[in-house]
Amino acid sequence: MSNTIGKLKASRYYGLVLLGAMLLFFYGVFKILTPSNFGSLSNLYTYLQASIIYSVGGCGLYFIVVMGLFDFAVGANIVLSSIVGVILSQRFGYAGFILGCLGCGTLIGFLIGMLYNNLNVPSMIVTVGLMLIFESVAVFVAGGVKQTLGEDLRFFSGAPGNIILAGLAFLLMYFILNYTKIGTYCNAIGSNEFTAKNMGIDVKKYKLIGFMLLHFFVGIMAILTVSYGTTMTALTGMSTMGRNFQPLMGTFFGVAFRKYKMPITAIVVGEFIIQIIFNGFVALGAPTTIQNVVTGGALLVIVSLTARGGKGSVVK
Amino acid sequence: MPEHSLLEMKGIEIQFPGVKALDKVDFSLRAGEIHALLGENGAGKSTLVKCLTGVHHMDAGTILFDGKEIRPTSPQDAFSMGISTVYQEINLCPNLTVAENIFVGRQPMKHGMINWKDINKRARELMSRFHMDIDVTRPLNNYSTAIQQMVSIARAVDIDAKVLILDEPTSSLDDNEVKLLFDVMNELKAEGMGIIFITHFLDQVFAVCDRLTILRNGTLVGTYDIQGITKLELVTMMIGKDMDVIFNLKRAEVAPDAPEMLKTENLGAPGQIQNVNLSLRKGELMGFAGLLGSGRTETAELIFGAVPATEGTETVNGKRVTIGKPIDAINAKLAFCPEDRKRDGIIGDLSIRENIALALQARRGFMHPISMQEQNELAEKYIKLLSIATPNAEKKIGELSGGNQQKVILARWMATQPELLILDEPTRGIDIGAKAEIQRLMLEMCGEGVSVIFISSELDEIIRCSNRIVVMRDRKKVGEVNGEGCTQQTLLNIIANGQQEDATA
Repeated sequence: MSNTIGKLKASRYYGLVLLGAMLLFFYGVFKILTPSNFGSLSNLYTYLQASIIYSVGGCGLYFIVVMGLFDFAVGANIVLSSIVGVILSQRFGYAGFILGCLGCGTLIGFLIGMLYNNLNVPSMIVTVGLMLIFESVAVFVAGGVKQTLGEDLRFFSGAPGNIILAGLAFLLMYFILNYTKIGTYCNAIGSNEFTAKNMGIDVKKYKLIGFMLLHFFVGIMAILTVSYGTTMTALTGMSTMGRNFQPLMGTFFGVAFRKYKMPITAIVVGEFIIQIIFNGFVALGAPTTIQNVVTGGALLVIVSLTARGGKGSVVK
Repeated sequence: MPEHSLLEMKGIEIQFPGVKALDKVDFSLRAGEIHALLGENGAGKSTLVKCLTGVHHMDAGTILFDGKEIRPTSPQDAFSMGISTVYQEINLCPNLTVAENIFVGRQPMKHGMINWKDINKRARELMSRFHMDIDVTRPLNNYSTAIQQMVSIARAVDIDAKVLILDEPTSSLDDNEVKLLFDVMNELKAEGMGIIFITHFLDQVFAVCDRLTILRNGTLVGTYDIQGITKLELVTMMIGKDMDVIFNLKRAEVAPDAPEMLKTENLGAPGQIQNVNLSLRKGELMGFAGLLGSGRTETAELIFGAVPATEGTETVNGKRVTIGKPIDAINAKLAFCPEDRKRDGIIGDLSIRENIALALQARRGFMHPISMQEQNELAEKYIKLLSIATPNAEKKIGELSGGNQQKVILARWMATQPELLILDEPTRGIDIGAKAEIQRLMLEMCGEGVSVIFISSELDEIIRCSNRIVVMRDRKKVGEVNGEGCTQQTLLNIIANGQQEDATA
């Protein structure tokens, strides 16, 4: 009996039920508290469109977070890649826009990975340093001017363009995780880097690939972000730091639900839940400070309930 | 058995800073043999194996493998040549599935994609060859240590390895699991594989090996056929001393009117262990016998507060105490050396001095730091008293051999001057000389009035040292016998029957 319950609890369906229950819970709470301002079908559609942008970044972050690494240059790369994409779009149209964002994003991932591998410094420090550099580069590239995406290049600003692009990103993520060595190797490196090396995995190579993949997805996120907002302004002084956290929260969901073999679903639903919480507070008219406190608290509760280490395990 | 050598290591020399780790050592392995590599900690076994697997680079000597000279530059290099190693600690990724662990780094691909069907099929076939009918698509951490060990071996042999090095593979296995491992080793031997078996369990050497090579202080003592050597000769050669001198240990004498030091009544924590009833007198050594998972460690953790008791009572020196966490136990003059010294015992990056001072500092509290001078004195005292082999007290504990690490942990608790010392598998994975020294220390402490709870999987040492032996099974105390006159058969009968017959008491 206990064996059957154990198997059930480890199954993908259990994970889906957990996610669904959380989604319903938060939706229900805000719907009861503010029935008229929150949660209509059109509202939900808007939340979904916003959440899929962050989900794409969350998917990218998943590759490095499972390896035990962090990246605080995601926000800076979103800004820089958007600006590069918008500038190139003015000459080369969609090709310039898409390739500009993806190319710039991936190149930055390559730079971060190379520096991380060769400097032998924690990823957090490398990426904070690079974030400051990328912010300044973005200001320089933009010439201090707000960059606006041409009106004829806004296919990805709403449905179906944004949903198609995000859907392709999720499919790519699914393929990489399940049908290439990268997914297994990232998990192995996260489990024990020394063991992974002894098993014949080129750890440095796959860390570099992890950073490049992350920032390739950030490039996609840049396309969606600048299309959704239509403009991008480069700012310095760690102003891009805030852009790191929303995708990261989705990644935490993905890592927490990894044991149910459904990280992508968890990232997407997780981002949607976070959007519901954010917008629920907006509907309630709560001050931003309280919103942040409750959102942070909800994240801690959700992740600790789903990803808590076993008895006696050391969590760092 | 084929007589030609599959592997020939000749004149191997390695110099580490200040010490010659290997001095002109020869070693040969035949195809289709199980060859034990024996010696005390620090004898050079690991160094020799690390030469072979490319972890260390030798200063002199040659390695011939299948008649060709090789010089592996890394473990992966050795692996690709057909030399596989399975370490004492499971060297796999617990979050990956069994199948992924077997094939990671060399997954079969189809049309540029991982061929999961093939991976899972081959993993199932491989595990069933080792008589393991398990779901290979489940994460490795869902399975016991023994199965994980088998997965390590399955991975090691699936590359058409010709040489398999098993480094202390049995130290975490129970008797049945050891038997299963030996069956697998014999099957691999029959297929022509050469197996190097490193172990501290001498009975296992005689049970499964064909030849053995003994190292001492980095030099070769000799290579012998298993039929041509007795256990006594073997131990004498390993330690370079007469075994009788080392094992001339006597049980502690406990005065009939010695006061009760520890009493537990129905102590328990749901889900862990329940109804623990023990009574231990001052200066008495109580052994805990039982199979792995029988509840010995859980009982020790409960007494020490590593797992808080939620029911029952605990009395120390006649006073009722509430031990909800280890610091309560330390303040009540209890000490606990845990089973897994690498995980729960040592702090690898701290020095010997810092590791010794830890528990005493915890008892004194943050506001009463131990001065550097006192720390140095403590370290010097215990290094000398316990014969810890180290150039100085500032050496990182993680760099010491297993036996010496164990002695440092023992020193940590001795420094707190405990009245009850709980030792959970203190002699596991250490050489026979260090083992005898730890047993001698336990008995000396008993002579000084310290009560000791001694947990071990080796029944002979439990019987040799204990005044009384508590037998555990299925997380219950199923018997209690006097050490004097007790035999292994007595204990095995209680373990097997799950109850004690009157005659055994």
